[in-house]
Amino acid sequence: MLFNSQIFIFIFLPLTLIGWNLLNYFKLYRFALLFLSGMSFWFYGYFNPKYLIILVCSIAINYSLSFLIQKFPKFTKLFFYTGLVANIGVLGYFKYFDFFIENINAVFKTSFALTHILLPLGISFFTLQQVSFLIDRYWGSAPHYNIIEYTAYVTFFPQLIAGPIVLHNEIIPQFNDYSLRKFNKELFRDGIILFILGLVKKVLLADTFAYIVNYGFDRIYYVDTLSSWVIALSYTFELYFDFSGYCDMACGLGKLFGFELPVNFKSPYKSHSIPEYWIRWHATLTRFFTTYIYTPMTMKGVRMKKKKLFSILTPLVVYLVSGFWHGASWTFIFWGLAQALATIWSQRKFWKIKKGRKKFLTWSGTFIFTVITQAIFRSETWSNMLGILKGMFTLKYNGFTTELAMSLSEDILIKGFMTFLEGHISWNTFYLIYIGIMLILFAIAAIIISRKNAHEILASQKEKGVTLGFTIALSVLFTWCLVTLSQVSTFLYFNF
Amino acid sequence: MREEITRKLTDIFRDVFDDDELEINDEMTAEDIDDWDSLMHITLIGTIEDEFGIKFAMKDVVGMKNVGALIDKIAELAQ
Repeated sequence: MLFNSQIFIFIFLPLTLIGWNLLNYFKLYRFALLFLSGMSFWFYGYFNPKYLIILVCSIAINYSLSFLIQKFPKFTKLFFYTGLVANIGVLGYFKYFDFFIENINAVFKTSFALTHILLPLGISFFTLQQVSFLIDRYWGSAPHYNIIEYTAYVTFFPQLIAGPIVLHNEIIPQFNDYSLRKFNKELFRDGIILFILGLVKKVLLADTFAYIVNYGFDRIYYVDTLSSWVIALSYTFELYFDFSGYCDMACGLGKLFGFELPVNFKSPYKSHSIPEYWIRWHATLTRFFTTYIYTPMTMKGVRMKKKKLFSILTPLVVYLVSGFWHGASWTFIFWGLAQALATIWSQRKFWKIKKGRKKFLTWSGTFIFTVITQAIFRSETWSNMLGILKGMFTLKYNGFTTELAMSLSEDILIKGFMTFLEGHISWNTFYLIYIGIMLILFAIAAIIISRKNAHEILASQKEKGVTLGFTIALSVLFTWCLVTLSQVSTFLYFNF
Repeated sequence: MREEITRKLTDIFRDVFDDDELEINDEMTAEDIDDWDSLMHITLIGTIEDEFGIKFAMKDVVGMKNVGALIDKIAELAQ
């Protein structure tokens, strides 16, 4: 199920909230947690019930290993490595088997058939989450939990599909703190605010930029210099509003149930270096890699008195793993390599400067690097990547940008507005208006990104008291989202 | 014993962060010093291990709450 869908907003969420609050009102705390997990299974299995089997098996295997570590601590190492292999193996199979076959075919000129296995939703996330728990069990910093709290920890639907990657010790204590089960009006209101802010970012901004990005990448061989930078910048905005919007919704949803989930985005486009970018972008993933790969590996290097060598080796390993984790294509590995090299180079003092004129240089350098590498990230195929990079770095003009601007006609409101104008203006004006709309879109995005992020907006509203103006604005935006969402359903319907 | 550790630790902090005026206290965390990022943290731990002749468990390296907890851990390991 998607957060940005009518079935979620009008059926699933209300039902889950009612059930949750009712059960907690009658102090059936453990049953309430079980109910939450049950609803989360429904949430997960909505599009494809078969994937529930994978989720259940994953939980069963990891929980059993945790139990075995508890029962037979002498064999902790064995159980740990078994779990590691099992988790990474399953993830590897679903995500990378075809990539593996493709490369074997390319190198050995064989023609093994691809399996076209469909990737189970969220498998990258719930696998990583359980690996973090397993490693903590191995290190002795996690207890063995009971099956109800463990299942709730893995399946809690706000964070199940795309994170944030929640640590067991930041959520399970909350599950067991029954004082949080009492309905909190203020927290609930905060949750709604954050959810709507996230929804707006996703539906009104990300999905609009997506029209430009998808149109462009589907016709990558037509791009010129200007249009390729427009596409790249559009993706920079699309990706941020999409992912951070989703995470805002996740945090908001968590609050509706009385829980605090970790923040994943802290205005990353304000970063002055790539290391800083990764602290602000997908913060929980960075936290995972820092805690479970970077720190142990660098610590080993320091102890072996090979700090300099490991200051190069460790970022390479971390970002290659990260690239690989993000997707099964050489473009992702190339993207990871770029991040690693930037990180290694950022160890120089220049990138730590945050004052004075150099501030603009470090900010713009970081931002431009981000735009370029995100274009690589979006490419997904090597030929797309070459296409967009060629467009960005060779000088050419063919007016493709106008066509890009017109891809915005996919938006129901823009289309409506333009249809209304169509008979009354010349073609040239028609095209100019589309470009104008696109420029306005970019301007809005730039302004939003340069100011407070969703969490900061919420905090400042709480500080001065939620204003009437804000409430009205939010309601209008929410309604606008719903109108736009109904467009999506219609579109999908026509596809059947 | 704790005072001795605190004194030695202060010297280490001053050396690692290149700041002769630096003072530490129990509540101090990585948020309190600008340069205290993950690499600095590991450098710090490495120096502490060398100076005190101890070895931290990985869960303590990643899970160190504050300087107070660090001092306690050093005291425990240096026994």
